[in-house]
Amino acid sequence: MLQRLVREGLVLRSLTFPTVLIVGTLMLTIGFVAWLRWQPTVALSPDLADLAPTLLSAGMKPVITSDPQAMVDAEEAWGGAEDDHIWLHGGGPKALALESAVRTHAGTAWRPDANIPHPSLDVAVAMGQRIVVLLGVLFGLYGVVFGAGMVARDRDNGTFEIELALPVPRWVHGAARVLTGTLALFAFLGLGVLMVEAVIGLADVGATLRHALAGACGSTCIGLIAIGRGGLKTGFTGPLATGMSLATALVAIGIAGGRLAAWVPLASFASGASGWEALLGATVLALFTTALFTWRSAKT
Amino acid sequence: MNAPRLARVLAIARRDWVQELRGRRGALFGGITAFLLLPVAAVRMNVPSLTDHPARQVVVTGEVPEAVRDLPNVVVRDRAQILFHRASDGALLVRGQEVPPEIRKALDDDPPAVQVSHTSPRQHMPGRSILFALISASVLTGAVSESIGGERSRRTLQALLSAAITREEVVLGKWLAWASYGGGAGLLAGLLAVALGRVPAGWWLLPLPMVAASMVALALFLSRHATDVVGGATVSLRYLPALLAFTGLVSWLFADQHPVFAAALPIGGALMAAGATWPGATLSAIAAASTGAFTAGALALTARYLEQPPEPPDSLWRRTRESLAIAAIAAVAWWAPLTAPILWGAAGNPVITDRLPRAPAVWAGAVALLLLSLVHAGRAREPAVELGLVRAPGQAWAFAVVVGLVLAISAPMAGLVPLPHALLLSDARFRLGAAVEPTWVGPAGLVVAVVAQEILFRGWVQRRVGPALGTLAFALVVSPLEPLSAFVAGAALASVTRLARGSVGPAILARLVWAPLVALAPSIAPVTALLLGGGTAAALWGTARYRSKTTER
Repeated sequence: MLQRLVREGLVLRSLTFPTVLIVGTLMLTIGFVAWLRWQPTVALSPDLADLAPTLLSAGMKPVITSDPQAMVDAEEAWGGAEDDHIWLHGGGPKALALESAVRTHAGTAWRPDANIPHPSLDVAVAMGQRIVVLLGVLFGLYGVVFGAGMVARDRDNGTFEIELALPVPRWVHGAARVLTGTLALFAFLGLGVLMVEAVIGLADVGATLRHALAGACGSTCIGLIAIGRGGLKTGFTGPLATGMSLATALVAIGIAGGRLAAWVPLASFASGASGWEALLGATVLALFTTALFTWRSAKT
Repeated sequence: MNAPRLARVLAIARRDWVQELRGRRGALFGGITAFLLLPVAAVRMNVPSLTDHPARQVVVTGEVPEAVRDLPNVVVRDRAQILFHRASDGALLVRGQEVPPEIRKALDDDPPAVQVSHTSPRQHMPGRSILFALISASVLTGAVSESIGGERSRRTLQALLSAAITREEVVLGKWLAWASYGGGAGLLAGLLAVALGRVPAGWWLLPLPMVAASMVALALFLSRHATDVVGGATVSLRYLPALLAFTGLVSWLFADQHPVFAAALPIGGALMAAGATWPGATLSAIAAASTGAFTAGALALTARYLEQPPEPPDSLWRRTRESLAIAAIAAVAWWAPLTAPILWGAAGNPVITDRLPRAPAVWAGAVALLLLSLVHAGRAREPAVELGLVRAPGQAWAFAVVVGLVLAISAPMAGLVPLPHALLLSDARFRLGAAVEPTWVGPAGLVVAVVAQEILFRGWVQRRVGPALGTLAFALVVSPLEPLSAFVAGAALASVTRLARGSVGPAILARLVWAPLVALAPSIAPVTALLLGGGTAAALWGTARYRSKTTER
């Protein structure tokens, strides 16, 4: 089954796509920021003209004008200052640097420190955790497609009937499908997790990989459960839509929080737990799915 | 080309509907669609304003003024987001990524000495009706992927195409089935929301069904070569959400500067117009028309390229082209994790570049290369042979040790080639070079990286296109900024693999001798020399013994 999956170019490209998309977007964004070195235009009234060198050294492009507010309103300048008033189109370090300069000029009792600290690795790591949740959602949907699609396809083209005629216990067919989906998804989701860890950092890569394994297993099981005794001839869309809605709902439950989320595959991604609980939950779900599949096969 | 006949188009559409919507599972699909769309259409929503931010906890430290300490959401700790300290002129400095509004209020007089006003950009935000378009388009993944993929896996597509029905009619019928379902569901939800007074009626109703209709056309085009439902569904899942989000975002961003361009952007323009983002009829009409034209184009292309062209016969050119593609994928997989952290420094935050752990980058690159080889093996008839995982003659192992030692001793010669001047390139060269040093990646990481590289380049690529091109690919992927020394090392390793009759084991051994010695080289030159002597003697002895045995046989 695993060989059959990897022989399909469309499936393979799809499995690499989320990682390429997310890591690629991340790299392009950082690269774009590095290349662009954004220099916003700041409109200053003539009485603040002496701030120009300070703003220039802080990476801004000062412009002297009689009506800074008009320039900002017309979106010709990102920010503007006149006497004791600042107009801004955005925030961030450059906004603080502008405010610091204007407050220094006005001689106020407090001002933002112009020496603004860089975001620490912790900030990047927190972002990395969010990116991994997004990866988990995408792979969770693939898992549902694998679980449901593998059964529907094999049932309708007759492969499943041949499999059932083989001299192997019936539970093997369900277990093989759970294992195939889990391994195929985890190989690529695990790679995605490692890539995110390398590019932006993760708090605990081991725990994230355990969540990934549990999520891969859990989403495949959801697909297998959702398809039931159905196939392409009896309607594939309804079970697939149900499975996908369920997988998305589980991730949403995880994001919403709660203690139970740590034990539920897919939901556990955003729980911040160690991942062992989710693995246990995934094992129970895999056993249940295998048993259900065996029972359904017998009825078929 | 004859015009499609309506009766046949409707027959194909009906066939798809019956296939998917009959029985309990069909009702389930309708139920899921209603379950997702009805609440969005009927429930009252209090959308919070973008400027409403609940006060979150702020951790502060330093000379924190009493007024700030007394704030309910402020906590004083040693490790904090905001530091209060004094400047040389006596002013209180607030050091942090931001100064939250409640802290500003506590610090400022009334009225404040300096007034900061944030003006919002003029861009309009899409309304709730955008959700009708998004949901109605996203529930169709299964139906559309099953439409062509399922026909092919059931082997009914050929029968359809050989019947008295044109390809255009087949594609149009399939599109009509699901475009009418998705577009109709979205439109019904929109009308219900209007009837219940949740959203005002407007021109947004015009492009609303076009979003689902264009998504169906695009999904049919993308899954036109799918051999079964798994392939069809994964390809739809891969592109459709990304394309919907990307074109929507581009359209929204450009709306202020070029409203006509924004509306005319296929899919994204219709999505934004369906969200009642822009007032008036003109932009909605432009969006509907451009997305309609895109849909027609996608359908025409699907009908034209419905069948996959036959694979070209095996040739050196084809193998070289394939190997180039493999090398390109391997290059991206290897470079991305190793060199991407440098970008943080270039973007202005070197702290992250310095503090990001390095070993995971090598692990990520190595796992990517291994996966590439494993996928290839999974497609081959004899996976072990295809990756060079076969038994090697004893003489090759001895030769491998010698090659490893020679490479270790000659490693300092790489320094003769000057470093690139640009800081980024020099950083990248260092990182790519250090990736297979045990001090950087650890013993386990080193073994995985070496095994991954050797299986890919010596086991697979060299076997496919020969040692010269294989070595070139190795040099360009593993060490693109130091290709000369990498090419020489690759050539030595290629000769080891040739002697080992295609087995990659000896080449891995050579690398595992070479890499640790390079890390220790400055202090162990005499030991290296001794080892070299011993290794050479062993190689000669091994070769002689192997030859005598072969002669006896």
